[in-house]
Amino acid sequence: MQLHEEACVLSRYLGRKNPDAQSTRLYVDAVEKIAIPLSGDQKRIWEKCLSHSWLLPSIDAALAWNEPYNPIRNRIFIMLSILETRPDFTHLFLPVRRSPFYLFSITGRLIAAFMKLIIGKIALWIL
Amino acid sequence: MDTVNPYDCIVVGSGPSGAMCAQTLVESGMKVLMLDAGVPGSIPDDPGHMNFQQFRMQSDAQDLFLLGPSFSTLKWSAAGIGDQLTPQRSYVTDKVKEWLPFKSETFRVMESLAYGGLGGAWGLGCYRFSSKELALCGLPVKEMNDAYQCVSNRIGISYSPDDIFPYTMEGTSALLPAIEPDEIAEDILNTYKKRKDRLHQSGFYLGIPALALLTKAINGRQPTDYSNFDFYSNRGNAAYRPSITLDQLRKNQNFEYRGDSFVTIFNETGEGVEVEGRNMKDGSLIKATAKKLVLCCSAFSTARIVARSFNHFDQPMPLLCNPYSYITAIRLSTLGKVPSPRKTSTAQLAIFHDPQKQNEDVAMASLYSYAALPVSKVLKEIPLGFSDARALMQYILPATVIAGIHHPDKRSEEKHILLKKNPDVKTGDELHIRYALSESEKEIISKRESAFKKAFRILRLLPVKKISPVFGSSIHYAGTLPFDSQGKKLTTAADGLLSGTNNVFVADGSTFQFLPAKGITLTLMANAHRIALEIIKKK
Repeated sequence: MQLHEEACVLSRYLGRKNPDAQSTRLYVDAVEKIAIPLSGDQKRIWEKCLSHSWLLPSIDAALAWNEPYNPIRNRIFIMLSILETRPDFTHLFLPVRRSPFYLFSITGRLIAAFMKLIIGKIALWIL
Repeated sequence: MDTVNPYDCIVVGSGPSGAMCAQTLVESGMKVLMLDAGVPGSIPDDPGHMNFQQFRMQSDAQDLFLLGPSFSTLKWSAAGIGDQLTPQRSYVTDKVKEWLPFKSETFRVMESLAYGGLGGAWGLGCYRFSSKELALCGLPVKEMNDAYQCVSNRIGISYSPDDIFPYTMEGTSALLPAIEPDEIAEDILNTYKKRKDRLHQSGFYLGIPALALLTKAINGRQPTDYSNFDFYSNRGNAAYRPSITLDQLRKNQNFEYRGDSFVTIFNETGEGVEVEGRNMKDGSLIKATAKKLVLCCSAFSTARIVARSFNHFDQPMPLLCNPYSYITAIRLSTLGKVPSPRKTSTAQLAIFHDPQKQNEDVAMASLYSYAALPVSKVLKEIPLGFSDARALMQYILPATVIAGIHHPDKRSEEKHILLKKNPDVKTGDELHIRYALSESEKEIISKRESAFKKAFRILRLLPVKKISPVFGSSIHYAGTLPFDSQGKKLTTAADGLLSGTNNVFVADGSTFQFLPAKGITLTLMANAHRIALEIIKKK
């Protein structure tokens, strides 16, 4: 998969929409500058994540728990850092005012994160 | 003009010590040459008249501003030394790997070859050492108290006396009003006021720190605009940086600044001192002579120059460095509250632990809000997928406090440096560093950290994670050429004169026999001023 397509998959995962042209350009530039070597297994898992993008959140969650500084997460981190600096996405990184139901929102997120962790662990075992 | 020694003094290094020493010498009428690497900052650092939040929401140019021109902030490793540097401040460590090599299994060093030295990224906290701490360091109390006042007048310190007065600025007059704390700090202070009796019983005192950040205009500098850009730009020169002093000195006929100068060695001649080094641009040999030499280039670099000059290779020299850890804590009542954009990025609060109430064996923590660095730096530390971690941090970040805890440090045989020859590196030698804590020191630190955690709980701060970074992370280094009244080899006399020399002075932290936990920079500047006065006396 081309780097600009990779940028789109990551942006949809992290920011829920396609990246603007500048974000894509920055991602391509950053990945080329910061060479991140992936081992054979890591490359295979990464390619699966990109071709089956529904897997990406679960793999990310499982690696965050087991191996937080895995090179696969490094690729996701690069896009995350870039999106944080783009005006279209910045609001996703700034504090939000709590709603009356914010505790439900936090709890829901944590439950979802736990489910992703389980799915991700199974996926990593299979892959 | 004296053709043999055209300068009264050569000052090596332009950090807080060098700048303050040079100012005192020049003001006395002495002709001063400053030799300095002087690496400049090169990244635009002020996006214009907006605060940090407006910049984040509106600016299309923030990618380069926050990520750096070569994505220098995208480090993929656990938190380490220098991670807090913004791209605009990262120049303070440029060229250091090449020119100041070191080796260590247990220790990391952050040194600087920048114009203004590490002072370019100083956190601005100002803490006077108590009389007992000064005595333990080997510093004369009366002279240091006068020097603190002089330095305070020069740099401008904002502080209103509160419960931490004895640990910060007691004895100093003409202070500016304190910086306004942000909402979470205000909230913690309110809790402290209600629960201070319990905290005092266990030796904890909390207050707003003294900062070299102006709240009123002085000496052509403007007060802070609370735009939260403190570690990116320096609007109106509100924050004191040594470069402010250097820029002023360079207008004086008695002062000459020579950048790109990497000093390696000195030789005493009959009538003065000759220094040699290399031009950092073309590698050519540089030489300069003066009646006196003042070394102000940090505990490590000063030790390197002295060891080379005395051919003192493979011999240990002592080292002091504050053990450091940080605790991330959450204030639950602040979860999901949107903070005001009006704030500074400096430490919001300081808490001192003085169980004996003697102001002698004191640990301290600076409390920061996380509001002016990219959130992604934190997200990689959270054991959740990035998307979930990001969403949760939107609620948690306004309630997050980061407490950096410093512990005092004493000399031991397990803490030393030695210079070894290595023809493969640019300077022909590299520093080897050994630093280890004894079991009893580890136990004291562990007990202290537990006491801090307990104090945080009393302040309604829930500690969630403690990180003990590698030794050296406090960036407070000292003690390599300690004061000694007997004139032993590789020591310094109380007036700063290096033993075995007639005209070489040490005016940085190399001379301290003990390192209190309080921030060291104000004391470095006061001591450098004091040594300059000693040199003037000998003129």
